[in-house]
Amino acid sequence: MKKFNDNLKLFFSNKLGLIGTVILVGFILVAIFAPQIAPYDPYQRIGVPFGKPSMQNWLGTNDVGQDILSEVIYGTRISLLMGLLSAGVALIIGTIVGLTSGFFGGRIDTVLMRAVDISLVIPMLPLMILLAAFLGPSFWNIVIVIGILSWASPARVIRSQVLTIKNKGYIEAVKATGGKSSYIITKHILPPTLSIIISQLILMSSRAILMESSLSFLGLGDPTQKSWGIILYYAQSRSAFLSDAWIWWILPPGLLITLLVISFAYIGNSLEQIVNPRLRR
Amino acid sequence: MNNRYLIEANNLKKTFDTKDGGILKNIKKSRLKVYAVDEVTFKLEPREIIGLIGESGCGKTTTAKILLKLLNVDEGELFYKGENITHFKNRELSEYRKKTQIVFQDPYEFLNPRMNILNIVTEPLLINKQLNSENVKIDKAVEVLESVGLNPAKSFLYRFTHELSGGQRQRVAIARALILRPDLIVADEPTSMLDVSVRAGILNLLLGLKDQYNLSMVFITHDLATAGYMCDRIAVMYKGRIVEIGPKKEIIYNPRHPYTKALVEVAFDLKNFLENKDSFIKDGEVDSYEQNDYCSFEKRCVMMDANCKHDGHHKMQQVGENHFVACCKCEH
Ligand SMILES: Nc1ncnc2c1ncn2[C@@H]1O[C@H](COP(=O)(O)OP(=O)(O)O)[C@@H](O)[C@H]1O
Ligand SMILES: [Mg+2]
Repeated sequence: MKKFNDNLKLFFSNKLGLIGTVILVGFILVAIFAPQIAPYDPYQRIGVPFGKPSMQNWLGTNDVGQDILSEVIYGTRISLLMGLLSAGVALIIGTIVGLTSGFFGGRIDTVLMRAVDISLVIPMLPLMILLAAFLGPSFWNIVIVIGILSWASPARVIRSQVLTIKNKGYIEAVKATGGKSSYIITKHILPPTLSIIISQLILMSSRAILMESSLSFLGLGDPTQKSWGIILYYAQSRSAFLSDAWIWWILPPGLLITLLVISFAYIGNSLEQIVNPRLRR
Repeated sequence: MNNRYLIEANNLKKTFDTKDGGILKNIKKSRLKVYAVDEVTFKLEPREIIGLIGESGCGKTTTAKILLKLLNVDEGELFYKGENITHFKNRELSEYRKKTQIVFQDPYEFLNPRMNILNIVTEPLLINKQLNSENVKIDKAVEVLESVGLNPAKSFLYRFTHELSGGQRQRVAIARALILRPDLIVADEPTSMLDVSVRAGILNLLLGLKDQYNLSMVFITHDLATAGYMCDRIAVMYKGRIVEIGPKKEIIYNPRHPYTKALVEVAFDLKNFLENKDSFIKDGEVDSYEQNDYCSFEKRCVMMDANCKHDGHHKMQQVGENHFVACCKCEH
């Protein structure tokens, strides 16, 4: 408990971590209370198409007359959820690979780490586009595509943590009393790896949000789900870049994506400094 | 094989491929073999304590891990109560795992810092499905903690290892090793990390437990004086091989191998050893990458000459009752 408090102090002593947390909490609140905060239903036509900002529609309206501010507020939900879910998929795969590879070693390790190397060097965007186009645009397909393209670097981090724990004397002692691999992994390896898994989850969420936005912007997102990326996609396809509309149609979702990505990255980095003492200054 | 012996180790061999060498690590030529354990043979009777002594890197820990089936041998055989367990795998080993336990050098490494003493000590019961209820767990933990001298036992149950002193930690480690009522405890330098003031306490505890629970022990140390205090028999190891083995009185008062002689001198007459160092041992690093078939002590032996270099001269010769030496200069 004392250690937990120490870590909490350490976490909040890092200004960036604190800022990231405040921003993220803000986004989470907006996502939860979107129906209460948003002035309109983002799927309802409530004004003229291509409306300029006004007292009724602070950020104007889109090409079909939906309120852009409401779209952006609801978009927080989709973008946040997609980011977390994709990172979750990445971490499930990454954890399984990292644990197996680190714990069992030998041939399995060689094969899995080769796979990690390969997936770290292949250019991500083209592959992502290919996969997304092949699977077709739906919420879960996007989550899965991003997830299976992001497992490699968490797998590697988790593996190295497993390696340091695996060589501790107490693991040997457990083996000597007859402890099976499944027991050792769940009881002795996973608990001290959990904090690293969580910090990786946060870092990967940051990447996943960016990837989702890119995919959506390129028209490979799920058009029925109004994520920030999808808003950008429609804005771009209706030539918002070429008119004044970019100020209220493109800038707000663009800035919010940046802000959310940064807040996750700040939190992830300062968590990583706590769970990975080698990084601590 | 008869059942007189608890453990029979027969010609155990274990080599490691080292992969250090930086970027060259994958080039075949730079792969070196470490002869960690080579032709190690000994027998252990019930209630006997055998000492393995030798300098750091001579293969003591590797031998211990082989005995506990934590490492597989490359060659050789291991018998437990007359049964050949060399190739036993997981399930077949479960009985052996209960009957043999290890106590490591560094109790801090050996005990999971995230678990409290109660869970550490009773974990072997949990693993072997001998825990039915929380009450049984606490009773067993208290009983075993008392037997290793941690009193009042109840006050230790919910503490963590970092709250204990080195000596207390090692007692917890011993309690954990004891809770399944083993036949054999392998103690790998159990006191080398402890303050001198608490060493004697741990040694006497082990001796007391041996009598109380009819234990056999493999006691590993690099200190001949400690081995002399603890053991019935002593095996001296050098570069993976046993170079001399015999009753402790023989080893200490009648050492035959030049390496044993040097160890005895260091332990019991350090002044003389330092003054006449060159007549006991040559300086030099142990190079465990090379092994020959006549003498592992070749490079540091003051008696080495051409006559030594005949294959087979590293084999054990009997020089007294239960006393064997691997040195062609030591036959009578
Ligand atoms: N897992 C391993 N991989 C490579 N070499 C090892 C390994 N374990 C031990 N060795 C080498 O084997 C030799 C014997 O080591 P060890 O049994 O630990 O010696 P001791 O316990 O007597 O100090 C040393 O040279 C050591 O470097
Ligand atoms: Mg050792």
